[in-house]
Amino acid sequence: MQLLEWHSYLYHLKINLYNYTSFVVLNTGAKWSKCSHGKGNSMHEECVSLQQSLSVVGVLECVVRRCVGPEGGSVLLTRDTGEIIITRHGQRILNTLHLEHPMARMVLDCVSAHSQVTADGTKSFILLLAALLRGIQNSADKHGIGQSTAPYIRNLAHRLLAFSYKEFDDIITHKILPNAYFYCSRHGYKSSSILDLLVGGYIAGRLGIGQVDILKRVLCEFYHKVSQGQDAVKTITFLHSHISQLHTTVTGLSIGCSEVIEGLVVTRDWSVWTDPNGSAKALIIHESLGFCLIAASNNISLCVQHDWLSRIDQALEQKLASVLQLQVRVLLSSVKQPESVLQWARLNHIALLECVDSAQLDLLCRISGTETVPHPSLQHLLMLKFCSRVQLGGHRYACLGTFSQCVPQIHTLVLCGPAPGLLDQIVCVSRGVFTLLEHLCQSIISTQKQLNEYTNSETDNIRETQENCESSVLVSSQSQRSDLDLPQSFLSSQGFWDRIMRAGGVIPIGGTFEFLLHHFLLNARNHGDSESCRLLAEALLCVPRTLFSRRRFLDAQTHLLSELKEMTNVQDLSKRSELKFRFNEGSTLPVCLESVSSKQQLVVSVLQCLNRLLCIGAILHTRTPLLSHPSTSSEDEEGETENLHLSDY
Amino acid sequence: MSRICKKKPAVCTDEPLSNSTICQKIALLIDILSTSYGPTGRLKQIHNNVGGHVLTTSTSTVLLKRLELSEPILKLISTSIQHHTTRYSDCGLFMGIFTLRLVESTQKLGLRNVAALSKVYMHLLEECNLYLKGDSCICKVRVDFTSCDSLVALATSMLTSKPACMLNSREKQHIGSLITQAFLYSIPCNSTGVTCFGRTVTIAIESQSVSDAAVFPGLLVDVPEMLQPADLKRLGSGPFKVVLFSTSLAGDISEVGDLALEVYGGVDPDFEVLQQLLRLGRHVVKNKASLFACQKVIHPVLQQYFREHGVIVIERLGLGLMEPFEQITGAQAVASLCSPVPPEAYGLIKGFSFQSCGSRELLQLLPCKDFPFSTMVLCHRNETMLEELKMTCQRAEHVLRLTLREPYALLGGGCTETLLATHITHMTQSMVAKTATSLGVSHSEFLMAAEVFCSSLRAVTLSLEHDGQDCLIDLTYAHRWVPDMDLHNSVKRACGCGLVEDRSNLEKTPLNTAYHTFCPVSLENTDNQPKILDSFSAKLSALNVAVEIANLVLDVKYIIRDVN
Repeated sequence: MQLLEWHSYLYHLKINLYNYTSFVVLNTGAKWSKCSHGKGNSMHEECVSLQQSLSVVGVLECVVRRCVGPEGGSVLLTRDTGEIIITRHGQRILNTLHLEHPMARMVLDCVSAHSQVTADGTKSFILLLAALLRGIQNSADKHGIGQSTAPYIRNLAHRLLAFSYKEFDDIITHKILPNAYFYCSRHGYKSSSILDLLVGGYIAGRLGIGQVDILKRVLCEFYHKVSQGQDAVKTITFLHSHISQLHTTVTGLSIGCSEVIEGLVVTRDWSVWTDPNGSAKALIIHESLGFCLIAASNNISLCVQHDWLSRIDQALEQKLASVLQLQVRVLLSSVKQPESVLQWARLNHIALLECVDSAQLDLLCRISGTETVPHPSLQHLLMLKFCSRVQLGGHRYACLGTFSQCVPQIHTLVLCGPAPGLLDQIVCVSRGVFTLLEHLCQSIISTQKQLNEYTNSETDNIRETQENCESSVLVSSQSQRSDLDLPQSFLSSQGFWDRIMRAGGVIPIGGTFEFLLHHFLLNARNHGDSESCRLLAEALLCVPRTLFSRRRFLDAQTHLLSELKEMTNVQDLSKRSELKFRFNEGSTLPVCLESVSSKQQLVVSVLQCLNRLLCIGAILHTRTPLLSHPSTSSEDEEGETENLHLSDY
Repeated sequence: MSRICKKKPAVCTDEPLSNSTICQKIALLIDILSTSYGPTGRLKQIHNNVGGHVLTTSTSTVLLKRLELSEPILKLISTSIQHHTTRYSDCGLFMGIFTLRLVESTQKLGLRNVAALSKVYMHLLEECNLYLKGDSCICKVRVDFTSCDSLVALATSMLTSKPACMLNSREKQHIGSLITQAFLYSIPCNSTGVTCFGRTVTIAIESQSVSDAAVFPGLLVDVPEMLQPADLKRLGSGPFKVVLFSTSLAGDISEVGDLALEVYGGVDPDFEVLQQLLRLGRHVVKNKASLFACQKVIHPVLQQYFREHGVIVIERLGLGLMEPFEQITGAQAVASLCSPVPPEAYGLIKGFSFQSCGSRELLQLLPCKDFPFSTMVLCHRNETMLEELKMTCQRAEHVLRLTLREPYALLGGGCTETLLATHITHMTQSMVAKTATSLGVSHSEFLMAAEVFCSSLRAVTLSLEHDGQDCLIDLTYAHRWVPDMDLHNSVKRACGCGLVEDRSNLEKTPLNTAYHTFCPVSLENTDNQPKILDSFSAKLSALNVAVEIANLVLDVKYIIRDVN
């Protein structure tokens, strides 16, 4: 028994070691700095681990707490390069701290992994983690006075993780999602305004006062102009993956000057500019047309013949003549071209743009169908809708419009800010918005699939319990409705937002999700073990608690719960069509929305991180680089006793 | 091999604005900026502790570029001001003083809920924008393009507010009209479709009297060596053919770079290149070009060849002059030595003439078409003043250009700020209850924020005064006045901007004392024109950016400093 546990403990330790190489600090004489569990070790020392993680996360919480929500403040960061940035971006703040403590760094890694997926909830992550740890400590204290709490804690962590894999999903799909939909329709949310509210909700906690409305307007305009009422999923995926090429920044202006421009703005001016007046054929080249020795190696010997000058010229002329044969009017080059090419372009009235970012060129190629020129390599032909010069904040830039066969219409987001350090935050948020939308998209698509499968199997079975029955009715009616929609591959913008709302993908901001989940966790007796439910439920409330002052928090909670009661009553009694009618009457000021899926992801990520934290029994300080020979080190470890010296190998 | 160091943990500062050292630094920066403000602003000398160049200035751009600020918050504000001035060329000090005052006074209130105040500031800013852009605004005047009075006033006001230019009033008038002239030259006329502004090239000449400054149409370049007026006469009358080269014609093999060339016997590359150059020269002479210009160096043999054939040679034009040169002549820069110059690449100019400005002889190239291009020659007594003057002129021209987009100007001399402050106070008084509820802030918070906002605006006006004098505001028009020191002065006195004339029954009160709120009245039946004008676009943007920055700074809860 003892041995078994020791092994499993080592196993966990190993996982942590191998996943987080950065975490083992190269430090003085390597040894088990804190050993848990086993002979001679008192209970006191075991508890240190939990206490330690709590104190580490507590510190992070302290930093983050004041920046949460629309009322929170921001942080001024100075980089080692001297750059100054004002931000509320949770991950950026935590990263700049350059934390030394291995546990803190592990938490940070979890946070970044989470925020890469959803671009949301880094600050709530820390808050929730801290609250969970506190809850666990409390229950551990209650549970075992005078006995070892470590196994108990580890057990709890496992149970919580298991809960997040199984029952948690059920609660979300059968309780939260339907209620989110009911809540939304009750408050008269229109599916057309979902995007606005979702973006608004995301931005509100991330920008200063007065900037939110402006950026929301610009971002929504950007989305609508790109999508043109077409396929929403495609547009969102496109924007998400190409946002860095599709925005440009201007300093020295107030954020109110931000705008959306048609076409792709390249932050270079035309080296040779002639207006093609309308659509034009363009050639994309990736190498210099001129005579170039640099490409060869450093040591070359040249044999200079007497007509070498004219020979070089002739070679160039041949190349240029072949370009001319293609009848292009615009030349886009990713590298600098020699003067003589510029002259040639001027003489032949060809617009030439040098040093274009190759990512942008790739984007152009992908959007408008290109043909590859057979003879010289690496050249592409494409048609441009228009070419122009735009003046953005004292710089002249080139602007390229494309004919796009597929959905997205290329537009560029021009973001203005007074100084680079202030722009950074705006850019970050704009990028995050599309990550969030992408995540929402993906989750809606996947849940839709799941639901369809689920209902198909469910309708065959006899309905077992009352609760299940209720939920499946709900679900099946939902899926029937969605089946009436256009096929999965194509969804108009309107249809997409409609579907999101009906699937309960969005929920009003300001703790609604947490309150609901809290309520359902406490009342869902048949779902798994009650202790982890209770722990999670209690911890969840910390987020709205930070958002609101104490009185407003209680108000909000009671208000929501009473509404929930009302809703469930109505749900049981009457049909939906009647409901809708009644709900629309009592519409009030629309509260911004947030995505349920990213909230769900947040809880799951936190539970995973928690599990990792609690399974650590000790921190190893070694001098050896970690990822070297995992197999040998594991063998070594297994045979060793507690006072193992890792510095030996 | 580089050593990998462990990164040091970052240093945190909590609640930076309530930190006393940071507050002191803010106060110091306010002091520096506000003492430099206005026509009587004190000059600042900047030099480092090991000697070297001493810089005298009072403009925000130059000043802030040189100031090494230690505090990140101040650095942020300073960069914002600099970015603003590169866009709008004016109102940098205004923005700086306003931002810092707003931050300082808000901090002094010591409220915990700063976000509420920020909300009110944004609201008040919206009010200001609405008012300034609206038709009922009485602190803006329409720029009248039928006469150049308001343009000259704008340019002169800019010169007036830069005391480091060291100009007397006559010189100010002179330079002001030159700037306007250059601006008018740069506007293309009778053109259709998409038009582009012309350009003004500035040439600065030291140790000459300011009155020698002048504006010439066309492009002025230094007279090439060994060019005599007689050579020009020999050319006869234009138009003349022009060739422009953008590659070096020095005869070296520059494209190879830093590689070692191993040359086999029998071929002398240098000689080959020279022969090619001469072939080129013969070709150009055969095509009857009269002016041969090159961005870089021309081989002396080639130069000699050209001179013998009566072709004027201009070498080392520099990259900066290439584009203007191409524009006025219509020539296309040629880059290749080997192929003959294509006929399309030749340009034309109408004529040459010698211009002497003080000690310097310059060759003027007159464009054939009516091209919007001029050269401004500026003179001043010494280098520092000349530098400042040159910069001011360029920025003033930019400010004049901004009027084309928004054809308005604001009253200068502090009158706009007093008017705006009075208007805002009046507005807020009448609708406290409604606005406060809609913003979700309490009454007292709203009133406090409005007071801070207006007093910060007034503080900008107050910093115009540096001699310990009072600043007055009249209670009818809400313009700014300076107290009458000389009672026996017979000259009629006017307000800061020169729009309102003093009369005996005009009630005035010191600006920094409390006075009752009133709605400023617009002046009617007057022939007076405001003498001091400020750029409308620049000030509006400065106001917006200032409030935005102040809000962001007030929002800062932590400073995390990376100390690596």
